[in-house]
Amino acid sequence: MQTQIPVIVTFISGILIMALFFIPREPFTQIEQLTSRWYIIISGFALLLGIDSLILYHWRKIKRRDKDAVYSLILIISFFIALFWGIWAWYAYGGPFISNSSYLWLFQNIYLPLDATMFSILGFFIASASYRAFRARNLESSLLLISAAIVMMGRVPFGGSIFIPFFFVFMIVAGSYFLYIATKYTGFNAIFRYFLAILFLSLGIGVFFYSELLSQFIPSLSNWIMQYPNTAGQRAIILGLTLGSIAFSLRIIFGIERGYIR
Amino acid sequence: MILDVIGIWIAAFLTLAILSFVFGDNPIYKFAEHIFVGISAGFGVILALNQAIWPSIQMGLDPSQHVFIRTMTVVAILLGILTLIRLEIFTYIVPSLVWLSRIPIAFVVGIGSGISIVASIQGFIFPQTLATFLPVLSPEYMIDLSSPLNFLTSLLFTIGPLVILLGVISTLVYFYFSTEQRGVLLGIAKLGIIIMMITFGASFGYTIMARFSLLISRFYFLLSDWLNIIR
Repeated sequence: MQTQIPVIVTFISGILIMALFFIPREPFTQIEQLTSRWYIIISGFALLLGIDSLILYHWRKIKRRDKDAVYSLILIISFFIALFWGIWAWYAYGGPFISNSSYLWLFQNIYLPLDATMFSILGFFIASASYRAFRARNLESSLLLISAAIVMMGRVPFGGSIFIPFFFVFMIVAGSYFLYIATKYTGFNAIFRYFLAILFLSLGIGVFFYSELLSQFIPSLSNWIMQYPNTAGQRAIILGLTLGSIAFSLRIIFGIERGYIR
Repeated sequence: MILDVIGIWIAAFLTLAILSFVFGDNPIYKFAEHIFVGISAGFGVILALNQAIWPSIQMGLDPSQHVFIRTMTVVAILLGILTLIRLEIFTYIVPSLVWLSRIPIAFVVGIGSGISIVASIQGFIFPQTLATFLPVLSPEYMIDLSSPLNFLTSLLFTIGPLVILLGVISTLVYFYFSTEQRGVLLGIAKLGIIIMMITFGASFGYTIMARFSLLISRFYFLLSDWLNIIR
């Protein structure tokens, strides 16, 4: 019973919300609104479970007097300051987020700088990761390098001009590399590598003659990559993910997946 | 006014504290990091209460609503309270009743799954598929022969929809594992890899630019708002 009732509730609520979508008539519309309201209210209480877990985890660290217990204390104090300040601002100003509320001071001067700086330092780690990821070892990683470089250069002022020396050196090096390895292959593999060598060397030499045009072309190429190949790849990956999430949702509704009732 | 000045000094201290992570994990960074987690959690609770939960309860219990709606809202609140039986304190007081908290959670999971199926199909799969199957040569652009640059740019943008069509199909083929990828299928899958590499590179480059923009904005804050060196 302890397992069956939740599975039945999941099945009924899942099927009900899907059925309501297909019948946009009264009283089904009202039932849909009511169900959505239930969903918001109950998930709001479920949020407290997450907070309970976070606070208890750090409370235990304080009780055990762990090495970093003082930071856990800071976390708990910060949490309650944000919580009670919000409740007080709600009571005093009629809402914590209205224009003259003092709660916005907390948002503006503590939350926002912490959030923005926390994400900005990821720039350093991404730069370090890009050094490892962008080494042109084969065709695939070369494509990764080229598209990332074009997108970055195309989105900064003078990016096109900065790009030209890099482009020249890369094309000459890549062309020479493919010319060298082509001699080690036969048949189609050799022809393909000769083709790449000629292409890269031609592009590298062509830079001298069309450097002005190329510097103007880079921003357009950056936009094109973002608009077309990038859209195609993202779309296909997200389509796959969406189909996967539909299959997973069906498994939950039909009680095959029961992890949430543990 | 004085509160603004204090706010800027606190913001500057916290910014520098987080940036100190560049020199490795240190106590100042940990201090700022734990403040961030605590403030975010408290802020999240207030945001959820103010923007979603309280308006829903208020609307449901409004005297102008039908008595059935009001009763159902009370039931939802009771079910929400039932969720709280899972709180650690109740696992000691009434351990035999803890399983009851699974019922409202099962309801939320069921509704979430149902909404996810409908929203994914209606909001994503159909619109994205429709946006893929378009005329392969874009009617918005014409081939411009006025200069080599214009020709190349206009050519790329004209064949854009074709790139999207081939890119989506080939990338999906790459993820098709129900049969061994050989011959034509392997060729298409290889095109899929090329498209994915360009996508990952572009996303990577775009993310780096976004992160560095944020970093520049933090330095601008320190040099402008805090130190008044630049205006």
